[in-house]
Amino acid sequence: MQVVINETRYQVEEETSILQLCQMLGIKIPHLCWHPDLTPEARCRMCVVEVNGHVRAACHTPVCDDMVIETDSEKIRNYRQLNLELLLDGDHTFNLEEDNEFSRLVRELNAEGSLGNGRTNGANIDASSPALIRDMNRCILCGKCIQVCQFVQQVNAIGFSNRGHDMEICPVFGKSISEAGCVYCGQCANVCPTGAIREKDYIEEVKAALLDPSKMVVVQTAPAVRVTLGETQNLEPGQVMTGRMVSALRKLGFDRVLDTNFAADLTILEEGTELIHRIQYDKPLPMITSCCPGWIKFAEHYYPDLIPHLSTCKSPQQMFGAIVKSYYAQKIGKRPSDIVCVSIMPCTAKKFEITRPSMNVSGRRDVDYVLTTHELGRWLNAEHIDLKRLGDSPFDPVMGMSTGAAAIFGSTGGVMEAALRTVSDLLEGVDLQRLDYEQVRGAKGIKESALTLGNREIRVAIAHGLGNARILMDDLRKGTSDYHFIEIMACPGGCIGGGGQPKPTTQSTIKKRMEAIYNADRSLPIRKSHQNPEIQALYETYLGQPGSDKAHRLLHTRYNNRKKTLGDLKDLEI
Amino acid sequence: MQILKNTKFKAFHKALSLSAEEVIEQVKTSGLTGRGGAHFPTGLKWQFIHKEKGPDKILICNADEGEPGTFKDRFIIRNNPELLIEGIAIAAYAIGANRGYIYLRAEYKNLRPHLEWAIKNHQNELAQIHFRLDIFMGQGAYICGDETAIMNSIEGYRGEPRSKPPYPAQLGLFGLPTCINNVTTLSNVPLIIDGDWSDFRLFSLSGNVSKPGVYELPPDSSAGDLLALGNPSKPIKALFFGCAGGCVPYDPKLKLSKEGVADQGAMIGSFAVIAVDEDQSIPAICRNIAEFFVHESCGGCTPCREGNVKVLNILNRLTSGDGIPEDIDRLIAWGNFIQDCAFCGLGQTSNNHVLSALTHFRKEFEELCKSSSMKPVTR
Amino acid sequence: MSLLFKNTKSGWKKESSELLLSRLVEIQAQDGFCSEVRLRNLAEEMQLPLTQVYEVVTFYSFLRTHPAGHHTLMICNSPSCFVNGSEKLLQNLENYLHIKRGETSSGETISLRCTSCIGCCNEAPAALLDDLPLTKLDTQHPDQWLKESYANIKEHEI
Repeated sequence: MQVVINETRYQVEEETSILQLCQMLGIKIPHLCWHPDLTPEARCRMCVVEVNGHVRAACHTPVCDDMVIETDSEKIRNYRQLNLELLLDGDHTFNLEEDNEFSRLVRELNAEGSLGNGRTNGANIDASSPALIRDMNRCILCGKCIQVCQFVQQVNAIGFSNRGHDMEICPVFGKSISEAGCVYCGQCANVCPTGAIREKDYIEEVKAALLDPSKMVVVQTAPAVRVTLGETQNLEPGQVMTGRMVSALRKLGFDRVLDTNFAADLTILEEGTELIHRIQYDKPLPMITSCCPGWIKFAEHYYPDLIPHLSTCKSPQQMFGAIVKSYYAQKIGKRPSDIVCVSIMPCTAKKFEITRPSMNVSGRRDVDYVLTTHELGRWLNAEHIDLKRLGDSPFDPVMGMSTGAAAIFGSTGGVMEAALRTVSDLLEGVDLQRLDYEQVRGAKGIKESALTLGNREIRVAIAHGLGNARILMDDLRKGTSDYHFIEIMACPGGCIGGGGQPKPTTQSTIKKRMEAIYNADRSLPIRKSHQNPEIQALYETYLGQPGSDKAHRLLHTRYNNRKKTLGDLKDLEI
Repeated sequence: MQILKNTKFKAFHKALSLSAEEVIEQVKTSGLTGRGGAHFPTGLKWQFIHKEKGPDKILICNADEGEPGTFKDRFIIRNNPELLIEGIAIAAYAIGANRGYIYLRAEYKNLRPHLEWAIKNHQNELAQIHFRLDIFMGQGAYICGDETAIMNSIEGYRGEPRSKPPYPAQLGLFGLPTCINNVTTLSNVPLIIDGDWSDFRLFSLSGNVSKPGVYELPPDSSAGDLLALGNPSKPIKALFFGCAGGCVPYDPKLKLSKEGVADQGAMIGSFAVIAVDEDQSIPAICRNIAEFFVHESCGGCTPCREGNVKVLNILNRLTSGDGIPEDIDRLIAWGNFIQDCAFCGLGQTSNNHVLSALTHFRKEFEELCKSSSMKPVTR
Repeated sequence: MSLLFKNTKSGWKKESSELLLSRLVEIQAQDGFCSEVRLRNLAEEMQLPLTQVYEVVTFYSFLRTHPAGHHTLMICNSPSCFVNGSEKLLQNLENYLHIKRGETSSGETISLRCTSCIGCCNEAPAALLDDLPLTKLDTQHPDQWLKESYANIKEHEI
């Protein structure tokens, strides 16, 4: 096809939209409701261009032969200003100082607001959950959050209501998200251009703890954070900056910088043992991973009948919290109540996980605060801490050592592969040379594999994105699921695609982050969880063995049937 | 009136003796265009769906007549429903549809028995072409008259319009090839096939006339021809072509054709003519129409959802005596922006009224503006 | 042109149901409105997300999630009726019923609303009392025709 864009002729080979073609050619067209991984819905109308003399939205108009396109005529520039004026209007309390897609566009186009439309829907701020805030004053009704919640994640916590000027995006009947079955995966926050839905911020609380001289503040960092922190300072996605991350955290004033990855190795020991036990003793199979709090809440709401299949292991974050306020506290001679545990996570649901029952074996919250990668980035930027200028630092000892198996937790398939590395050694009874399980890696929504270990065929499946989880769970309900072990991550891509990650989080950035994850794995000297000497020490001197009573008390948990909170019909009078 | 003719399904049987292609050819030759307002050549539309692979194809009869001032479809359903059913049956045969819906607006619920009766009478003929026809009731949304919104509505979703492409002919209701035709369009079909048809326009005349009603007139009729039948008691100042069509000053010589009206900056649309006499205030009517569009906007795109409220606010100010001279330029700016940038036909025609009114009746608006220059101007 | 977009606005969503809207109408006919309990039951029964059901209910003018008057009087306020005195009619009705448009009267529990064109433009000004079109209404003395129409409905109900 031949097209003319801004008076220049181009040859186009493949079917594409005008917006995507222009992106490929480096021609800028503003947009707000478009996302590379979602269906273009052409709602915001920022991307209007002139096509053969007519005005069309570039995001959903396919390129045709002989099209004549103008992307920056005076008419178009005028229309962009008018459109932005409408979006800025009314009661919107935009904080244009914040850095998000919308504020950047407004600054770039130098738009002004004008007299209010008196929009009244949006006065509400829903701060009911520990994880996410909905501030509908900022909502421009782009609909991306609904696309991810209804079609990708298939949680259906939010939708449109009313029409026209009264239209809103909200849970049914004006409920808060905590009443509406939201699982806090944060994928909505990930795509929101204005921050109308965003993570709840705990930086001030953490700063207060740091200033408290009676407290020792320890911080743990998730596997996914070290491969994405650079993006908060506009570095290329896919760089592993573990050492610099540790330095940055020391600069912020944390007393000890420890590693969630240590606890990930711990999780593998517990979960691997649990899996073998279930296989040997014919307990409910398949066993399903339990380290993803978004997935767990989803299971509790929508598949509570399948709860017996969930591993009873806590997540690495929570295992870390329990151990830091018992084993570690003992080791360094501190009272558990004098330790404040902060975690840096790619995940918004983790902010909810810390409030779950049984996450307080220390007598209070085992993990006190969660900051997302996004929040940490903001904090570092506010303090003018430049990652490029920092040297590397090591983690502090006792809970700072980890293996390649822990590193890959951040990617979909990583928990599975880490578990297989340990389980296969245990079942085969030898230190196998095999380390890489390629078939569980990659971005495919549902992955399956079968291996022979210790004379048994072990069938495994991996799903990421809750829509894909539904497929596996529906099969399980129907009785057509013949797996032994299933890994489920709520977020597409796994934790590297989490709701708290730097924006943009798209298939493309996820791919680069994934590469970094497996690079990190390959670069580590020890790549199997059970070979981690700090873990070995923990068991030898404190826990006994995996699955011991002490291990169960500290490191395992239970789940609730949350179907009732959605109004289980049996509870309602009809 | 041709539209009241009862062919007793003779045309249907005649159509069955022809091939589907021949039927389509006859309709194409007749020059029949869509009577819902978009004026798309009917035979051509049928050909698109006919070309698609079956076996499942859908025909939707758009009975969501929502354009204010239009009541011709109601007239047909009430007075000659069998003609409509026959037209639907012939269309289904021509395009190869096996499933059909009459999308009937909620406001016409009392007419449903007429349709049910007509369908019941002709169950055998419908069975003959393996065509299942159901009635689907709307629930109060003008936007559902849009052909893609109708599909979303039937599927059990909000009646928001869809992007085109994909086009309904390829990917329509439930993803199947779908043809959407208006009641009046389909009612013309048996008359065409029967052979005794001469092109006519079905006008819905209302407003300040003493004989409002449905009038069947030849295609080259003038405004004078129509208003003579309507018998206004006072001089007519303007004609509004529904809400979406805009307005023209009354000129008896004006040809009431798509081109004749377009020459004057308006759209004849569904042939609704609202005659407005000299005592009416054009800005007040525009304010009323702006309120209509604000209420009926689906909310799916920024220009229509937000922009039309801006327009309504300005018109509210003007008509309550607080207008400023800049308001007129603002109305033109917003109006052009919304028409160009809105997602669908509703938004794209939602400001014809005020833009055409400002072209032809600008003085009435100017008189409502305070002449004071006290207020600072931003835009 | 081959399919370029798998478009959610093309209705390629999973669970779709052409029966949804008519079921909602049934519920409203029975209860006068669509309550949360009824919608939850319906969603469960039809295996649809409650969110989708709620999206549909709140979209259409004729469906409501809160109770209204026992009867609904909708006055057409579109241009044909407007130039035939619908504003005057509304004002007189508001005075007679002692409520503003959008509100429900105590006593006879009738809700007064404006509505868009109901297709009775040749018999303007017009209104809908529940499903029944009322046409060529006397704008000055709405009490008379209202009482009469009301009596007719009540007769049918008994």
